[in-house]
Amino acid sequence: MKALVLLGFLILNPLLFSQKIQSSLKFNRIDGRKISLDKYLSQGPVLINFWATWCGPCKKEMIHLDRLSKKYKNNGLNILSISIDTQRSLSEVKRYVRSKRYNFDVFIDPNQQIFKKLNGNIMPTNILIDRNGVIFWMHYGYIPGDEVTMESKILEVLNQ
Amino acid sequence: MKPYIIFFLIQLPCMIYAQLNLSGSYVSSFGKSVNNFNFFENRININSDWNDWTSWLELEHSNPPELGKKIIGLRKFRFEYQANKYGVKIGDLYEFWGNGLIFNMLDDQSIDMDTGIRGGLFSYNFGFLSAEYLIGAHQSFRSTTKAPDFDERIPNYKTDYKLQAGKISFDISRNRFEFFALNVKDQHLIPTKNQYLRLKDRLFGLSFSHIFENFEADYHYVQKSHNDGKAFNLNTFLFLEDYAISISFKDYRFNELSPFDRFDFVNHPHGVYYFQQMPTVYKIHSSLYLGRVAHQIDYNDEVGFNIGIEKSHAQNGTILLNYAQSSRHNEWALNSSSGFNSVWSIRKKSILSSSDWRFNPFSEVYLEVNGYYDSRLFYQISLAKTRDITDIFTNIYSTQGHSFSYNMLESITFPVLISYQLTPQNSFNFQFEYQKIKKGMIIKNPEANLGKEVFGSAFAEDIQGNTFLSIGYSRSPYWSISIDIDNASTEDILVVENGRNNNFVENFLNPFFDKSMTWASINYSMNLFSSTLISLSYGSQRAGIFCSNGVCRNMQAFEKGIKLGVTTAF
Repeated sequence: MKALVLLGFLILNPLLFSQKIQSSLKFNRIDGRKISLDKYLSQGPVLINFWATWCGPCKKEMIHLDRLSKKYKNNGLNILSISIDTQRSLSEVKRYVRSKRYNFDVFIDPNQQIFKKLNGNIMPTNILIDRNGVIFWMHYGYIPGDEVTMESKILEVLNQ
Repeated sequence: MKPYIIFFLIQLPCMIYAQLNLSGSYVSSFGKSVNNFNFFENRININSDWNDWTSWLELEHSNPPELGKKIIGLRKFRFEYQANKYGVKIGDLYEFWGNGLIFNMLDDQSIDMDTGIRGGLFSYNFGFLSAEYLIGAHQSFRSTTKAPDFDERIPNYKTDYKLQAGKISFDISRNRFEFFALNVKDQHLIPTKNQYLRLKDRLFGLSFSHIFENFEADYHYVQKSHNDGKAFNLNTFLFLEDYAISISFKDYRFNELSPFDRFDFVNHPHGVYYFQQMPTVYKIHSSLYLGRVAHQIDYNDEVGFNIGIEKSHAQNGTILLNYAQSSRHNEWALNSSSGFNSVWSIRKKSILSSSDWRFNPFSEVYLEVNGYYDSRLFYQISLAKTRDITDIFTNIYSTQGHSFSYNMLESITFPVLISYQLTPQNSFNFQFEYQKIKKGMIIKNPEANLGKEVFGSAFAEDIQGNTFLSIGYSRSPYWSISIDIDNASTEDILVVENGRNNNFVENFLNPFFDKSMTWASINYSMNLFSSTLISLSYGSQRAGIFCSNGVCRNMQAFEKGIKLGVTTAF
């Protein structure tokens, strides 16, 4: 009975409640300072990408994120790339990101607190949030070609 | 009343009358194999927020889980309140202080490692100064052969910790200073004496980091009051045009134990705490075969460094050269070869890492080239050479000469990853890895074999060659399919396989790959909706070491079975 109640609750949940992200959510920059999601949402939609230095598909996807960031930055889109590398491999993040000179902002989440809060389970996880903080699109994993769907969703959210 | 019922009773009025945001995810994995590696794990995460309040709840129904203890019910919970200047967290905490030298609380289900603390965290921000206070308890569950009822999948040893900690941070311009204090009480069972030890200890630490335009550095130091244990970690970065250079150094010295007692946290409790998961200071790999030869770090006694040079090149590619080296601080020697009278003692000390086998050295050279060619072809080609002295059994200096025996591992690994996009939606994926391993015991006895070193291989032959091949096809954003083939040239006599039970893929491939030494599987994954991923796998997986983020454990084989996984967000 308890399982049925819980299942019903989960099924009805998306219909009853909006999937809005807490705009005061704070992200940790590599230098240890924190930045709130508010700051980015005030400029427009936000694409949050979770990745790690040991994740092959994540690295494949990054070139596309960089291209999309350059293309739509002036339209108000911000891409926030959050590494879930633990303290054991955290020093590799700085080296990787600086050598690539990506156009988007990079953050760290070594204990996966933000990753879990935003229901990430698989690497990479992408979450597109509209300017009101509501989740517009979410996608688990990366296979070549997913960037086409991602770009069409970005265009949809920018045209809202 | 059960905690999750209280949670719903509190949340229900909030849902109805207030602007509550609710989201969650569901992860399920099922596995069934002919060698009884069966599991059924289900986890639901529910996140909610209301103004400045947030909550997190994780329910689990795992009977049995893939790794770890059976859990049915509430697994994790946390309530948080974050105001402008202060915050409170109550429940299961996952924090990291001092770059992991004080705390590194992780929940890694793939290796059943949970270093989280249940308690409260209070923080206050005064502007350039912030302070945090943590109070809570931690229970560590680990599998060890030093306690009764050892099982590869189910932990057989528990330690209870109670702790209080404080942190003060200062942000001054581009510099950050942090000071830490930690008070720990732990209850520790010594199974051989059937007796509980009640231990108290204190840790003090500091961190300092500064950032300039082309140079960054961070230093971390921790001192333990008992045993004079200490740990030091330094990371420096230099950025020059297309080059990024990192140099890291570690010196961990919490409990220097003889080769016989190394990794025995049951009978030697004064070492590193389980929730101190410090930087490994070597490269974490995603390659299957490099994961299998990953070095098992000794947080109680290890000194070493890592140098990485990364250079970007055309087509958004990178060339990476990484060198890591570490060893223990001491050479240990036995005073006698006769079992009952033999005692280990320190013979030589080393301040820096040594490459001499007597100090359990590890070294790895890693070269990687990756990038895109013509924006359709992604490539990642690597080459790694590792050497690891994993165990020392004897080391005796006598009038007859020097006799010794130790376990070594040397490997050369060549992983290649290629993806080619035929059309924007269709792509071909290819993964190939080749590894040559020499593993076994080196023995020298001045009174036998003319005093020469003798090598006894861990394999049926001196060198094992491993070949992994994965060929896949994917259609974005809908599905992908792959066939994985893992072949060994010779048997690992230390891994008990209990016979093979080949699946139809292995039987089909038998003319090309010897089916007794081949593990093959077919994997299919499908994006049902944008946030729902279903994966299905049929076949076998080889037994051996499985590593996640630098922590390794031995996994039993998965023989001729199916695995089903569902991941969805709601």
